[in-house]
Amino acid sequence: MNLDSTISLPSSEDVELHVFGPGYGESLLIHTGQGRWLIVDSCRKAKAAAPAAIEWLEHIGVDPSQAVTHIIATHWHDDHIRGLGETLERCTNATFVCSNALLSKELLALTEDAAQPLMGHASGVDEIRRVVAELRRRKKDQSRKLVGLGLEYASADKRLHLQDQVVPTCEVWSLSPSSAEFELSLREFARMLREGPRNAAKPVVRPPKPNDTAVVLWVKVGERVLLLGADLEERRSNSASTPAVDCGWTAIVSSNAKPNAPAEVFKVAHHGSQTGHNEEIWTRLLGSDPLALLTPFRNGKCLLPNNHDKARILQLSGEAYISSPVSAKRYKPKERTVSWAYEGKQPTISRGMGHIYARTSAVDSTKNWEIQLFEGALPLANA
Amino acid sequence: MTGNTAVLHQFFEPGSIGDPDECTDSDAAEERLTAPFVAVPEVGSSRGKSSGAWTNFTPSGSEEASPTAGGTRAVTPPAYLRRPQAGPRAHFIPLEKREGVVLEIGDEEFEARLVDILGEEPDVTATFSFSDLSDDGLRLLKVGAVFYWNVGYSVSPFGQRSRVADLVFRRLPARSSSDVASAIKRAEQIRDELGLDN
Repeated sequence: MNLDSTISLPSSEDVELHVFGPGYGESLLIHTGQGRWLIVDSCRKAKAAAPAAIEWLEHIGVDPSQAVTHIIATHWHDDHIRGLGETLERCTNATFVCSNALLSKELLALTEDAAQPLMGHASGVDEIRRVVAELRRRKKDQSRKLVGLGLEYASADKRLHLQDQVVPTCEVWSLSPSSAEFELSLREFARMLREGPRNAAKPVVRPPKPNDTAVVLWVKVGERVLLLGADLEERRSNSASTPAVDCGWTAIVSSNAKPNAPAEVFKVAHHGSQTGHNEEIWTRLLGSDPLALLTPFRNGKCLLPNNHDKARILQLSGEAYISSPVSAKRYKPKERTVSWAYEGKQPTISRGMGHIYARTSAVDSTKNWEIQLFEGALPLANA
Repeated sequence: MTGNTAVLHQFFEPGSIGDPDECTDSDAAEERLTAPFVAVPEVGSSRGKSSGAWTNFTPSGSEEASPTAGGTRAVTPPAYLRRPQAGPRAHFIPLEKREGVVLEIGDEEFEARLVDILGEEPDVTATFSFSDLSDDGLRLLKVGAVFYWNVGYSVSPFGQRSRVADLVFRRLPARSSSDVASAIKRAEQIRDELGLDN
């Protein structure tokens, strides 16, 4: 990782949010005070030695095995899960948090059935298998002095963590998935299992859309509140004319059981897409002029956020940054002898691991957020 | 081979691959594209040579005196039973090997993400034309399908080089209901082991 040498460790009262996103992938790293860190999802550069969050911690001299308290898997899409198994293996003292659906019998059966490994694509299936293997190892490890697995399920309006004996205090809540979303996911996994490939091309197992199991997080460190939108999208009701009230952002904004404090930082949901947008996120869950941070999504011709999305986010937020440009970069093979094979194929590559770094005091709410942008990260207005 | 490959410049000996029923498309392609040059000792003329398995052949296949340690006579097989003389075989020099996954399918082309499985090259997103696929390849084309894309030189037995880009879809055999039942059972075992309710 190519980093500025002026980077310093956060003080014990600082809150930091790091957003990593290479164009296909997303991971967040949060300093929750007192040298404790929380990792949300995982991504990695191709052939990188370690997942992005681990790489950063090691770069600043922090031991992930001691400092990371929680690893939260928001959902199992490939772009949020690359390197998750390794992250769990490296953070030996961290509690693993995921939705109930991620370890459901239905999804585990799906991953067992699709066990044939691929060489290059670290699919979500492979990562889930690696996570399960690590949980099994932990279960057998007597030295951990735990009865359970160090596993916590996330669901709507559930407090996952409370640290109120130190300054700054830290509180972590999951705001989703709802019961209806959990049920829909199980039904979808069962359908995928039944309708598997029959003498067809070997597919990567593709998670269902919309992202029903996405875990939205509300994190309060001292006086600062962050809303981390994961990839949660709205879901249409059965009549398809209105959003379903028991799913997606509509369910979250209408809940009375969630914490009320408005957030000042928003990790924009689902790469800023229209399907991840709900006006009431901005009016009811966020404070005025929030800091909006997001990662792009480039997959084939699907590019997020699009120009309409960018305009909408810029209008609603005070400041907005994106971890990497939305457009991709033209690929030129190093080997001139293979260039001919790419002729006419419009080959593109990611622009590298972008990284947004936001830091402020958790206890002094008058201090502004200090933003640093690494590698491809840039203000959304310029993206 | 089931024919779901698209070889832009092909220079392979027919029949150099094993029984198609015994290997997957990818196995076959792998074998075909990575088969090393097999250096087979030159057998040459059978007459007058003293090395090799059939050194005592005679054109007619008749027996010829060939003393052995036990003093018996070696039996020379007739010409029609002789092993064919093996010469240099075609081989492939890989320059880039990628595993691809289909992202989107359009009217005449499809988008794929390609991961380098030989070296350090970055993931590439590329657009392939349907004309890069055979009929069988078109049948296997679907979003999420995995394929292998091999770029390199094929070298003929006579040393001629030609450029090759070969796209082969990975297949899965039909999944039976017992496979599904077995996967569910393994999932239940895992949950048991983790202490989670089934």
